[in-house]
Amino acid sequence: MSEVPAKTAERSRPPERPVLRQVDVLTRRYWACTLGDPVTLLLLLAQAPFIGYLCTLVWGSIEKDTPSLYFVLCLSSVWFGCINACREVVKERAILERERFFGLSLGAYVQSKGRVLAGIGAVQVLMLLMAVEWKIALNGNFWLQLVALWGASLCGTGLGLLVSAFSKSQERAVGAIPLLILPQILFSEFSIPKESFSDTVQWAERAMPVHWAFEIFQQAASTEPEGWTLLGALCVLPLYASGLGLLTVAALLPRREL
Amino acid sequence: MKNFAYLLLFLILAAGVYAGGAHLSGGAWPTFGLPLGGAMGELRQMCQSYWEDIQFKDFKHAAQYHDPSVQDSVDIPYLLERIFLQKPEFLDLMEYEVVFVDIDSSGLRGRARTRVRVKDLVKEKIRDQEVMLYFKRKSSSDPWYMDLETSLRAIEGEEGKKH
Repeated sequence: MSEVPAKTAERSRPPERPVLRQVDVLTRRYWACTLGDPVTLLLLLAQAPFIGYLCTLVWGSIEKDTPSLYFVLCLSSVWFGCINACREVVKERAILERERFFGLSLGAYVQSKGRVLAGIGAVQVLMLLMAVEWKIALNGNFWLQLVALWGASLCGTGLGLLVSAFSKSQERAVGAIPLLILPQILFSEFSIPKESFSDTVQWAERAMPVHWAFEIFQQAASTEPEGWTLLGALCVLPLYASGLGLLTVAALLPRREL
Repeated sequence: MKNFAYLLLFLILAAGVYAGGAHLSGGAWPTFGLPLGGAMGELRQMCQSYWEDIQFKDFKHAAQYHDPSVQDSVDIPYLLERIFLQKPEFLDLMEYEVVFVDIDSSGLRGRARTRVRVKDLVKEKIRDQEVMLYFKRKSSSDPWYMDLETSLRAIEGEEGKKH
């Protein structure tokens, strides 16, 4: 008789599952779900070469690359990440809340999303860059530029997941994307000359992932690149994306009634 | 075994798609020495070899991209001095790449925009310089020849016109 309460207590506690195993299982499940909707996946992937083609139409008319092309590429990469991720948590929030009762780790959940979306983002930025290189050779190392765009895409993915974690519906999440993209343009040297930036604008610019990806592009194209600036920009992007991942986990902590 | 077969199939497919893309891009994507890219690929390769010759100061070989009838009269060191405003011996050609290649509607005239990174060894300055290279051929089966010797001619005013 004395064993019964102990067993009940054991049953009510969620079973412990190693986080890494959860990441593995959740990644495979999410990947299978992604492959289960090939049309959406193709649409996501196809937008990258299409935007690249549009860039070659514009910059092909001057037959060379310019800093504004680098900026557009970086901005597009952030956009890809955002749009890939912004619906991914909110659309299955009910499942997530239910699985949390059975010991689902939020960290593992966000990491599984990040893994698959990082893979999709990598293919997108590769296709974007190759579509541009199809017509115009960009000044600078291809692999460095690819890493910059991938970093920007990862940050976009982080932003998208964060928005998705806060949103109550998929429509609201998609609607919030312009609020993430527009500041990237506003707080850049393409709005007003850099010399005219106030301290606030300067700080805001540094908070934009596009700024860091653009910095890598500029350093890569420079005749005398500044090693530390380049290294700094290369470090900021993954740290930024990881920070956004942690914020997403924090945003998911409060349980939601659905 | 099944997974391995799928992976192999995927890799073959991806390589095929890449090779097709590299050919259609006119050799803009790296071709790894394969004869891809058609006429545009040919021009790209010629530009690359030309700048490589210049990089290693092999002016005799660089002149061979010109029409055989003018090869002996092509003075490449003089042209380099005019473009870079420095004697070739004080120039270190560090990098070069083909930015853009274009062929006209007849398929007999081509042009390539190339980007060259040079170090001026006197001023200790590195700079990027864009250089246009022009090509011609008599028919689509004939080889391309560089039209660089026209850049070496002294500019003369047209008779009967004010300058």
